[in-house]
Amino acid sequence: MFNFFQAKFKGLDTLKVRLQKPGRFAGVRFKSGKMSGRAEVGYEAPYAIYVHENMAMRHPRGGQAKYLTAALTAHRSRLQNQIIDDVRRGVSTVEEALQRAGEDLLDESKKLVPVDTGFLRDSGYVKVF
Amino acid sequence: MPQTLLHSPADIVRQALIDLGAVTADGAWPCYATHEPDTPDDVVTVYNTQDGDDDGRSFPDGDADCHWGLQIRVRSAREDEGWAKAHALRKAVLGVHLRDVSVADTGYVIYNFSSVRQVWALGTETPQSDRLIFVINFTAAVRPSS
Repeated sequence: MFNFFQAKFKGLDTLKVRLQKPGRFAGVRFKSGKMSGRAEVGYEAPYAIYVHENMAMRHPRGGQAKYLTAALTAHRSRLQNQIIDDVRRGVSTVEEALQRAGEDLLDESKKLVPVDTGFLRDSGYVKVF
Repeated sequence: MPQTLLHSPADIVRQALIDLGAVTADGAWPCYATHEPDTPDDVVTVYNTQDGDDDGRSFPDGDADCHWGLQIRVRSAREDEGWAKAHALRKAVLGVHLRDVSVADTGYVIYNFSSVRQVWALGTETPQSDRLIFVINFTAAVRPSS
């Protein structure tokens, strides 16, 4: 038996899963051997933060500011539960569950990214630590 | 469910900033909500950034706690003045605790501002102008006055 005490999102672009009392987590598979995991979702385009934070900018071809925060807010609960379910059912390691949740979040965020050349949208990434 | 606000959090916070003396309604450093005018150069605008998050319930009375996402945006023709105003606003925001605010004769209580980020200098207002933009993101716990 194992229990997850926290699966939470912190900050603008970081997903974190914190597992408490590691001695009780028999059956939880960690590919890396670590007892905690973290996923980071972001955009590498140098102007990504300018577009994200500029609430006054108009986007005639669609998209909006806060394209990452808005996606996180809208899907936070679903992705938290997805991470917990994936690991609890044993279908994936913590790293795999974080990767999947990060990719889901990135997909939802890309629907909100303003598009001009596509460079910003294509600069999205997921990194699992 | 969060308590219903008759005015947007941006309108409420704008009024709070005016009451604090950090900005004005129509003088130096005028403050607006949700829409930034093209003039004057030096202006402050408060934006709603996300829907309120239910953050659990109050133990004594069961009321839902909610934090509204907001952004204060400072635009200035001069980098030094914009930077100073942004930091002054951040300091003013950090000092707010249990503040009564009235918007169009409707009373609200701002319990506090939390998750107040550092001032971000976004650079110039490209491509519209060379004016400088600074933003502060935070959340606000606001309820209608009972």
